Amino acid sequence: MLDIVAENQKPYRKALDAMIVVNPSLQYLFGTSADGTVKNSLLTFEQAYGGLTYSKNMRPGFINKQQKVMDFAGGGFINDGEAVPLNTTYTSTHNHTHYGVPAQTVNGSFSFDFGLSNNASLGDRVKSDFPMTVYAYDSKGNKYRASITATKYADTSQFVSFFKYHLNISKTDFDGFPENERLYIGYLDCLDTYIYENDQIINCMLNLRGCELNIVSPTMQGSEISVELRDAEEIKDISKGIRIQYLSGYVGMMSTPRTFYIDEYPQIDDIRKRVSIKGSDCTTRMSDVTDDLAFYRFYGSNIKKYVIANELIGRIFDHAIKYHQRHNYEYKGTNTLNNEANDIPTKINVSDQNIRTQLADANRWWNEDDFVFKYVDAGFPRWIALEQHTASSIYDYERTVSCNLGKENKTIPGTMISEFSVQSEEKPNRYNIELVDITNYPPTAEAAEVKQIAYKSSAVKDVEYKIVLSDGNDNKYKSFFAKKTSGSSEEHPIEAFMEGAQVTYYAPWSGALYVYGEILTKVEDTDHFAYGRNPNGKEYVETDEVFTQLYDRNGEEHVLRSDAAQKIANAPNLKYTFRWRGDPRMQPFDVITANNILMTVESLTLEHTEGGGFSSEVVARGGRW
Amino acid sequence: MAWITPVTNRKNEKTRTTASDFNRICGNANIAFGTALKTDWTVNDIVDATTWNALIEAARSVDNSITNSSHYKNLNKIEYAILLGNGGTKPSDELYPSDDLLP
Repeated sequence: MLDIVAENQKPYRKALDAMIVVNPSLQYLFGTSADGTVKNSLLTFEQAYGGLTYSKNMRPGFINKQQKVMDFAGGGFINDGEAVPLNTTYTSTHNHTHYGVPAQTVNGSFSFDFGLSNNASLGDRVKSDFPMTVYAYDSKGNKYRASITATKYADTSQFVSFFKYHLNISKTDFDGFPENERLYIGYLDCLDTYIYENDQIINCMLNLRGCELNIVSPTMQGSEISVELRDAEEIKDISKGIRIQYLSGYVGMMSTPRTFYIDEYPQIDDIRKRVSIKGSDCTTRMSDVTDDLAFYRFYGSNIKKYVIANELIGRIFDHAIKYHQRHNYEYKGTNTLNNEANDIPTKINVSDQNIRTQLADANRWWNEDDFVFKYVDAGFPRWIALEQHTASSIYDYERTVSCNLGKENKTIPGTMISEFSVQSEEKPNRYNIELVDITNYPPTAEAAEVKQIAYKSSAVKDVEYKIVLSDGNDNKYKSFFAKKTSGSSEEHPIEAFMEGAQVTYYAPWSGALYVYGEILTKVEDTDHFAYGRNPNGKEYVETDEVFTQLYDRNGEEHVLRSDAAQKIANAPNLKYTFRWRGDPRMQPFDVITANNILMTVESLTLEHTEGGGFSSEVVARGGRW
Repeated sequence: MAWITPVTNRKNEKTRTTASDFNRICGNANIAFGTALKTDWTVNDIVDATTWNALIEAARSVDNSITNSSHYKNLNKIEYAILLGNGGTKPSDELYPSDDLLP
């Protein structure tokens, strides 16, 4: 079996396999309880183990979090300490065991009803019966799959929006299911599950997007997939909204599935026997929702209001209260946090806004443990790169990416601008730029000098300066560009000198200065970076121990929790784009050095082409956001 | 249910607890502690939390180092506790499972 880490260390690596799974899922099932009422759950079993009459949804995500139970089937439970007693008093998802919902006896079967919504994805496929794929486990965790037909049964007028179906499942449906083992139903898929691998994938393009790391007005972007398959006529009439998943990797090391929902009916090329499908994840629908303050969660392809009204602000305040209590402040009132010592009211202002803005805003506002969603279907609202990638999947939430990718890289690794302050009103316009010396270059400030300052271009809107720092022996340590993006047409040279460890440049134009190193393929950040940290300016003003006023470059005031403000002030304004051939997990270790920069990824584009192989592009921000 | 000699010498994590084992444990516990635990467990059953908690609580009245774990060391201690609760004698410290071995 191929191993990604081992392959990465080879000069020539085997391309990763790709897999497309068209998978009408359980998430489109709406449950009915034993008394016939429609439950706000995905699927409700009418018969299950003992006290689990009210068992709720079955989803792999839930099941995998549960533990093995003290089951006497299959020779008894192993005394390794993992087995726990079955709690039959709960009515929550905890009723599910490690392997799913257990049959009542070792020879027990399942029989349950469920409903399909008129609006559900099955749409055209709703008929008197249809196939379902059922996955079951035994008490040892061995997995079995069966295709079982669900049959429609007498509807009632109260279920005008639902089609009711009945499903019987027994051990005999699963080939090889052992004697004396209990049947655990793991999860179900509506209709058949269609799996397409390398030889049927003509091309596949994924745009996986996270929360745009825009400090002033962050946005949450959706993710998309476009796939062209051959010999896939069986899915030509699937409906919109059906789930499609993408995986890649080697056998045994496939990635976590990225989930999308089909946007439109598949395009068919009967002559060439090709089927094209496009999908997007649920975050793409956020723009359609404009509402008052609310807290939202994602259900399948839908976005639903989790708790209406002030849930979001409630959560913010709950956290703020805890934060204050840790700092000996007492929370008083509904929307005001008082500094008890000084009785200075401090407000958290959360205004009505679009859900996309709300989520994105909350995403940047809180630390990663504060907010509930980190990974939505295919995108990654916050995807953080910490250190050099070793083995884990690019699809993991926390990832590592070295900025030093690409053999053509000639720069000195590790040069990075971490702070960028602007005083834009006074003459001369002054830009303070501190080079973070993560590679110990230059050795000392005194030993280094600006060796070279030269124009690269003299176009009015595209003046670039190349600045090279060298020591007395002409060893170049830092090389970067300063770029003029707007302002005067005068072409004054940059003045530069050393001030201790800080290099200060006087530039002849007003507006922002953008500095980047050669490790970047592109830096264009005119809209995204607004705050500076300048102790002598007004950009960063401490109001008390808890809140901080930040002024953006338009002069607008923002009151943020101090740690959030600090995070913003510390955030570098650099945007990195990496391109390389191969899946992002296929990193060119032979060119990566030990110098790494913390990064937070904004978006990732993967392109799988016929014949195998990927090309990738990652856009990331410096720092941990 | 008549008293059955407890099993206190499980050696490793590969051992299993069968319905028969659990009937012995519960039956002995009923004798030793006056509990009313079910004693007719079969392969069709899964131990429920109510039963397990009652068993642990009774056993802890003799040895409060006993935990909720289904680990074999804990099971040995549970059956030792039942033995002691029924008037048995504690074995030497060398034979009695030490607390630090418990999961």
